[in-house]
Amino acid sequence: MKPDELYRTTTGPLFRLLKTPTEPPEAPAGSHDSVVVMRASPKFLKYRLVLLALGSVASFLFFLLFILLAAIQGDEAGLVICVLFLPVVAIGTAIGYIAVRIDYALRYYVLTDRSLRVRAGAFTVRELTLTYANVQNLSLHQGPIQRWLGISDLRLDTAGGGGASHEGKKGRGSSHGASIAGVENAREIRDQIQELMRTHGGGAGLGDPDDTRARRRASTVGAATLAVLREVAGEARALRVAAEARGE
Amino acid sequence: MSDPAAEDARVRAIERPHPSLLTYYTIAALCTLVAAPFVFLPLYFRYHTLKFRFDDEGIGASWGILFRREIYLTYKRIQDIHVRRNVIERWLGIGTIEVQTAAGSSAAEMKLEGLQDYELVRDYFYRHMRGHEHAKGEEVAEAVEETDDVAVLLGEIRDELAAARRALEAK
Repeated sequence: MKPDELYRTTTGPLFRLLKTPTEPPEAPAGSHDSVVVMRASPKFLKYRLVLLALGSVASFLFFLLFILLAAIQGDEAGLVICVLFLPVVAIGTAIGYIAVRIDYALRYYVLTDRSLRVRAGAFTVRELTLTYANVQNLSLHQGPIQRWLGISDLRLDTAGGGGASHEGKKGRGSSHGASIAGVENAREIRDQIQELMRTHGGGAGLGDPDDTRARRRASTVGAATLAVLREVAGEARALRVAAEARGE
Repeated sequence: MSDPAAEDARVRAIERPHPSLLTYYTIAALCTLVAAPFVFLPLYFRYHTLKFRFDDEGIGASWGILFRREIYLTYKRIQDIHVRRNVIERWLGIGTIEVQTAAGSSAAEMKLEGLQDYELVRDYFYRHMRGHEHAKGEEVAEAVEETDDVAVLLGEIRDELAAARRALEAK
């Protein structure tokens, strides 16, 4: 059976059984200037498959080494156990293949002009929504294989600790923020989001000084001030009319 | 899309988790096999005492019989909204919403389990969190318009006063 066929015949009924939503998630509520629904790049699938293949080859070689050792030592029981493990590796690889395909197929990124929604997962469907106003920093991550394939991960961190590794950077596991994994135009998306954060004053996610100044300026010229100014203008006009009348 | 005000009212009416949550807890407890009775008991009491309270400023949740817990957080402090639905929850038609604030733990600050209208609640939170619309930009634009009005008015006043002065001087 071809891998594609294997994938299609297994996942269709599986998704129905598990009630897994396969259609893209709806955009966050409210009116938006732009809504873009994105998928991970096909290269992301390739990347995950390469990782899977590397893992399988490594474990295969590992057991092969043991078989060789057992054969040299003449340990028959050990030889049998090691040979029995080879099909396990094969089955594990097949399951891994389907899992990678499923993860890729169910991965959605919805970008609007002010928020991001990411959905992933088949058994447990995880959906995350955040606004750019709350984003603290954007970071790009690219490993050697990803670099070779031309994809990278874009990570949006929001405020909040925990789940951090000892190097002081938040890993993918942290739930304070979202990861747009495996896209080709990660840099473009980052620049776009940065531009949106700048122009719409969401900035630091904790309120920046420019914002408060703008708001203070707005509050100095209220409707009441305008009304009074109109009255003053009326008085000035009356004064001019009176002065002209006396002058004649 | 339906009316946000009507949706808000529907969300605010939610006070208790859906009865399916008890079924979910039962299944979750059974999955632990031997430990099931010990796992089930606290979950059973949790279900029966779990209460949600949505108000103008934020959301509260409380539960517990012996050890009572009550959490309250304001909408403006919400950092991100997670919706998690595992297989059993999907079969039962319920969902869990996890709300993150900027506090220093990686676990969600608030977990709302057993929501049937989880999408409604998610949208409700989204509508009430920071940055869901470009409110500040609009405010600044309005301010600029008003300053223009002020300038025009002041100009008129100046002209009128100047004319009045000239008229008085001419006398």
